[in-house]
Amino acid sequence: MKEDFKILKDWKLHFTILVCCMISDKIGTIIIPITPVIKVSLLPLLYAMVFVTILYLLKPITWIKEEQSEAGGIMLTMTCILLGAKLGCNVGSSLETVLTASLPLLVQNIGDAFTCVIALPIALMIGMKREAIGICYANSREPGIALIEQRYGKGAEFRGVVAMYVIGTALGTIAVGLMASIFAGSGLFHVYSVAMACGVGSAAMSTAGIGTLVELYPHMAESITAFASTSNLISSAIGVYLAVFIGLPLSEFLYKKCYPLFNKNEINLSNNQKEDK
Amino acid sequence: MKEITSRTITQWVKTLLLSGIFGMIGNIVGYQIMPWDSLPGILILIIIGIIGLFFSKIVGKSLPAFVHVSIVGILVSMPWCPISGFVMNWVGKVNLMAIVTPILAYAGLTVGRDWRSFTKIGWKAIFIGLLVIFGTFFWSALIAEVLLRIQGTI
Repeated sequence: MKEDFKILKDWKLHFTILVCCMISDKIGTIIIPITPVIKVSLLPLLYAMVFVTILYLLKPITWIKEEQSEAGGIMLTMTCILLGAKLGCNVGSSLETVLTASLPLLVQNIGDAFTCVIALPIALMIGMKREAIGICYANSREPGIALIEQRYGKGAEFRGVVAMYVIGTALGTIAVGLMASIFAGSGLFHVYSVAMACGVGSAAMSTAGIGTLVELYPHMAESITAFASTSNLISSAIGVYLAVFIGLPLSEFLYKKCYPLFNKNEINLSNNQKEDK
Repeated sequence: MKEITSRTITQWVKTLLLSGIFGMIGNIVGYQIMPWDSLPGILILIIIGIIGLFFSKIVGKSLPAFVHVSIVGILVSMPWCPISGFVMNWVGKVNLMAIVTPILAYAGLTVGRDWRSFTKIGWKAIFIGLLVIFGTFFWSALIAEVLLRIQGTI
C-alpha cells in the first residue's frame, strides 16, 4: 500500500480513461431490435471497457500497460465505492417498495448456488476435470477466488475460478444485459423478477442489467433500480457464504455423481491399477 | 482491524474525488446534467463512501467494503432518516450510468492484462463460463418469479 500515493500521479492513465468515458457517454445507449419484443441495448459502460482493452493491447499506446493495471485496480475499487453509495441511496429511498418484496429478494439470491446444477454436468460431459469445480460452483467475483484458493490451493480448481473471473469481467456485462432483455421480453418473467436476477453478480453486471431494463421499461425505472440494487447488495453480502454452504458442497456432490458417467474408461483403468497394487 | 492513518484517509478522499470528477463529466456529456445539479449529489456520495470505508476498516473483512458503503447509503436515504429528503434531492439528480462508465473503463485495464490468459482459456471454458452466468440468472429469476407470484406482488 506504500505506492498508493502514486496512483493519482499517473495523469496520462486517468486522462485516457476520462476521454474513453466521454466518448462512450457521448455515443450513448444504442438499442438494436432483434424481434418486436426482444431488444438488445448496447450501453456506454460496455464501449468504455472495449476502448480501454483495445488501447491496452495496442503496442504504440505505451502509457496503458501492465504497470498501470495496479493503479487501475485501486481506482476500480474506489469508483465502485461511489457506485455502492449511489445504489445504497436507491435502495434507501425506495425502501418501502423493497420491503414489500423482501422475502423474494433474499431467497432468489440462492439462485447463484444452483448454477452448478446446469453447468457442472455439461462441463464434465465435454471433458473437463477438477477445473470444472472452480468454474461452475458460482458466478465468481474476487471473494470467490480467495475462497477457492483457501480450500484447494493453486491447482486445477484455482485455474478454473480464475478463468471464470476473467470470463465474467470480459463478457459478464454483455451477457447480463442481453439476458435481461431476452428474459423480460419473453413474457415468461415479470420485469421485477428479471431486475432481481440482474443483481446476482458483480456490481457492474447488475448495472448493465439495470441500464438495459430501464431503457426498455422506463415507466418502471424506480422499482427496477431498487430491486436490482437490493439484490446486488444482498448478493455481495452473502455470496461467499452461499458458496461455502451450498454452491461448493453441491458442486462436489455433482462431481462425484457425474464424473464416473462421463469417464468410464478411466475409472476402470484406475480400479485395475488399484487391484494390481 | 487495520490502522487508519491520515494517509489512508487522504488516499480515499483523493481517489473518490477523481471518481467523482469522472462521474460529473459523464453526467454532462451523456445526460446533459450540469455540474451545479450533479456536484452536491456527488459530494454526498463521496462522504457516504468515506463513512462506509471507515466502518469497513473498523468492522473488518467479514463483509466487502462495498456492502458497508451501501448500508450507509441506505441509512441516510431511508424515509425515517431526517436528512433523507436533502440527500435524495441531490443524489437523485446524479445519473447512475454515468458513474458506472469509469468503473468499466478501469476494468478494461484488467481485461487487457488478462487478455492472453483469456485467449488461452479455450472455447470449452468460455462456453461453460457463460452457462454459469446464465444459470445464476435463470435460477434467480425463476425463484423471484415464483415467490412474487405466491405473494401476489405481480
